[in-house]
Amino acid sequence: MAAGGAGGNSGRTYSFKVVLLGEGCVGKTSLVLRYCENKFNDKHITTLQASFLTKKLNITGKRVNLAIWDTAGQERFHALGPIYYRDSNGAILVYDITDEDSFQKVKNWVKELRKMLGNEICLCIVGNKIDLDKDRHVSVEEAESYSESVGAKHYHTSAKLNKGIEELFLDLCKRMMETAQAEERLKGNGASQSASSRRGVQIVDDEPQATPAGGCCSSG
Amino acid sequence: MLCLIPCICVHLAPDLKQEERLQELESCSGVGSTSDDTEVREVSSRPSTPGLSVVSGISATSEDIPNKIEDLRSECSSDFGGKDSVTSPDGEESGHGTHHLTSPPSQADSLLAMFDPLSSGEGSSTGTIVRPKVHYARPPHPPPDPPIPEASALGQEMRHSLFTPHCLAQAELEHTKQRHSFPDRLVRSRSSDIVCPGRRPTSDPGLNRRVAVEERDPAGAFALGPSSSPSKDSLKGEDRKDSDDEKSDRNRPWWKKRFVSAIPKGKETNHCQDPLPRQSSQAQAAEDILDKYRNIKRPSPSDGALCVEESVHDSPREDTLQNISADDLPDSASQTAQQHDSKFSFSDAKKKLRLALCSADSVALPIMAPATTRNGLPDHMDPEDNEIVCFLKVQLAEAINLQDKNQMAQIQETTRCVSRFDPRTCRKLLAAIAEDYRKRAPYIAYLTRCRQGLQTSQAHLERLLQRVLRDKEVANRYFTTVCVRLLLEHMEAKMLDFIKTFQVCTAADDKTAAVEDFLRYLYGAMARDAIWQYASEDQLQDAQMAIERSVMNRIFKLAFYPNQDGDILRDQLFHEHIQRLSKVVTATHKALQIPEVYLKEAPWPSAQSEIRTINAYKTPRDKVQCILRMCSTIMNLLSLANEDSVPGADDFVPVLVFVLIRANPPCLLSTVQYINNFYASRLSGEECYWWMQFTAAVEFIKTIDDRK
Repeated sequence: MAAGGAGGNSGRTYSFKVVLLGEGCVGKTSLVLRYCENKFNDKHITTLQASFLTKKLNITGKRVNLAIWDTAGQERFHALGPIYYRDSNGAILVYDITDEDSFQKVKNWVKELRKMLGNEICLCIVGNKIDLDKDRHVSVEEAESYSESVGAKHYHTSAKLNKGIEELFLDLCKRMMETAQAEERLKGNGASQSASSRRGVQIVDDEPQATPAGGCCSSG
Repeated sequence: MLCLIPCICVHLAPDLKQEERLQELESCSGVGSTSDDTEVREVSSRPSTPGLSVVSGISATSEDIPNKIEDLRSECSSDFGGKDSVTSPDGEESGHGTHHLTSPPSQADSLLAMFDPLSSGEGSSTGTIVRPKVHYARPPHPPPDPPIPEASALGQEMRHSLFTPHCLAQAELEHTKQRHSFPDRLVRSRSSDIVCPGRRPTSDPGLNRRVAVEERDPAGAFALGPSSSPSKDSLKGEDRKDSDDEKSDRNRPWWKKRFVSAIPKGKETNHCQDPLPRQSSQAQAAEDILDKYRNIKRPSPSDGALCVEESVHDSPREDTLQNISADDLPDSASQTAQQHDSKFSFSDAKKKLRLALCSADSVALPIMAPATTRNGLPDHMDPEDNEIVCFLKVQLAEAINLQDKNQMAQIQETTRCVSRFDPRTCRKLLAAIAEDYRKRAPYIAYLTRCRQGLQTSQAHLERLLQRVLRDKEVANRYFTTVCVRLLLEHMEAKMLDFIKTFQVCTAADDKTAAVEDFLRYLYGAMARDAIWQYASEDQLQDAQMAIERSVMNRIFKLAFYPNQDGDILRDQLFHEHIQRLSKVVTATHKALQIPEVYLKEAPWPSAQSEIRTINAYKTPRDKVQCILRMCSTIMNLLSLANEDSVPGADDFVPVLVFVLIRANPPCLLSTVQYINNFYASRLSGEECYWWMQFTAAVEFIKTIDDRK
């Protein structure tokens, strides 16, 4: 839908908006803080807030400016979702592996996002807090098979142990770049950039199946 | 001043006769006591600022031999021309005497014990009695270079000088040189056994002290007048002299600076030799020379003031000098020439070792397990004699590795000196260095304090600079605004045309486009205007903002309420809704559930006052800035409340909603619409995020039902 506005341009500098969705207390803020500042529960954090953070990346010679938007995850703010994810290139849907309910919330978000934004948004489903694996309530198989079924990539992370976070964001950036490049090709029709297209194609293929699956619309 | 010369002469006579001579001299010179008293007071009241004394010491040591002569000169000049201070006996004496007497004797003993082998002979002389007293003044002061080991050697030298009057003048010269470099001194002392203890290098207070004694013994004697015992005399004289010497030391740098050019060298040397000629009835010539110095000095009365100030700072150093002198005097009597030599080599080696140590990499030291402990600890009992040599070899290896030629030469020389010592002397050497190091601790503390003070000043200055820059910014901005007003006055017709077309527009897009077009036109006009030809980028930005402000001011009513009454009514309804909510909604309301940890700052009045001002701004940009300020205020307060984590959106959104409900700024819906119409396309980055949160909060407020 609106991904074009923030997408990649001919200047080879991509600006992506990534929205963090997920129930409160699943560790969205810790995740992004760990990624951008490499800090977790640090008493000496100089950052005043972790709700809007930016990160500059260089991926295969292309510059990427990542703007990460944190959102209020409490159920009572769910209705604000459309305001949050408008114009997003990517969404990171975070759940707590010890909290089955938070995984259900992620499913709701996926349905809503696919319904509202279609395939233009790259989805990442993230099981956070793998340091508490002994209390796991969401099985790895379930989470991964669900993710595959909706065309999202699944990641296991721990903000506390700083595990899986770099990979998550790096992967997401690559996918968003591919999406943006594919979009350019569609628009320009002449630009031939078939060099690096791996997962972007997958997403396009998978989505037709995913969209019909989500029947109901979730409104708070 | 004249008295000084006689004083020096006094050295020629043996101790017992000193007194008498001094008496004579005193009577002849007719010393004025008042001036002396003042000086005494200065001396005694000196605050402890070792820094100054150290500085002077450094400057002195770093000079070459030619400079040393100048040094001496300056000293003399300071003594002579500086003041009549030399003659002050009573006041000074009392002040210092008490000081020394009160100090505990334990340290002196330990020191003596430490140097027993070297100085045992000396200890038996009259000096033993004096020592304890003098020693004690020292501890509180940070001597730049504690001269413990050298003290005894110096004392010895001192004695020599007393016994060898004929070579005084020459000795004086030599001493000046010695002061600056130990090796030099060593050579001299060897070449002639009769070397008098001249001035020491400034870095060695002991030497200076000694010099002072030499020069001023007579003065001290004056003070004492006909005192009973020679030992007592010498003690008092020394004390007194210390202060004088100190002063001269202090002054040296100044004098050097001021008088090196002014004072002819030849005269200087004459001056130094004065004592001798005087003794042989050439007093007249000497007086003439002195007069010349006085004349030189007098033109600048400020110098005197400077001296006083400096002397005020000297006390710590002076005390060290006194201590040293105490060692020196008693010891000197029974010293032999050979011991003398060994002392020299000892102090020389100490100096060299210190150099090697200070250039060593302190991080690497622990690698030398045994050597490190010795590095400054007096209680080190390791019997191996070549530990130092081992350490030096490692240093040498590193220097060779780095191809640091200077360092190599230095370390090799140090190794040579140290390797000649037996283990015991080595230990003593290290103990001496350790002692030096300890004594310097207060000075280091002083330097630390100085640095802190300087950093505080720097921070203050930076703050002032910030203020000035801020003032500049405000002034610049106002200036730009005035210029823009001038520009727009010429465009009044265009402005009226634009307002007419804007009124005609009905669709929001058209209005936005009309405003953007007109602003672009104005920016273009500004770029062509002569006034703005040389404006900087910042100034142009400010100017564009000023233009936008005046344009939006003119069309504000039309732009803000595109549907006129409909919008106003809607705003009014929403305002009433929020008003009702504000009666029932608390920070812990079901719809908000603000975490308890943040409740202490409720109701976040500073954020409320920020958002209340939003209607004072007319341009969408300024309104967005106002919203941003409110958001960052909230975030600041939240991060203040929760030390354990950084607030995220989960924490922020409920508080934002609460603040909006409490502040209830009028025309909220129109504000959102206005900004969406005229600014949404220009929003970017963080601005965009906070604007999103603001609109989300407004949407959320719409959904809260006050009846629940």
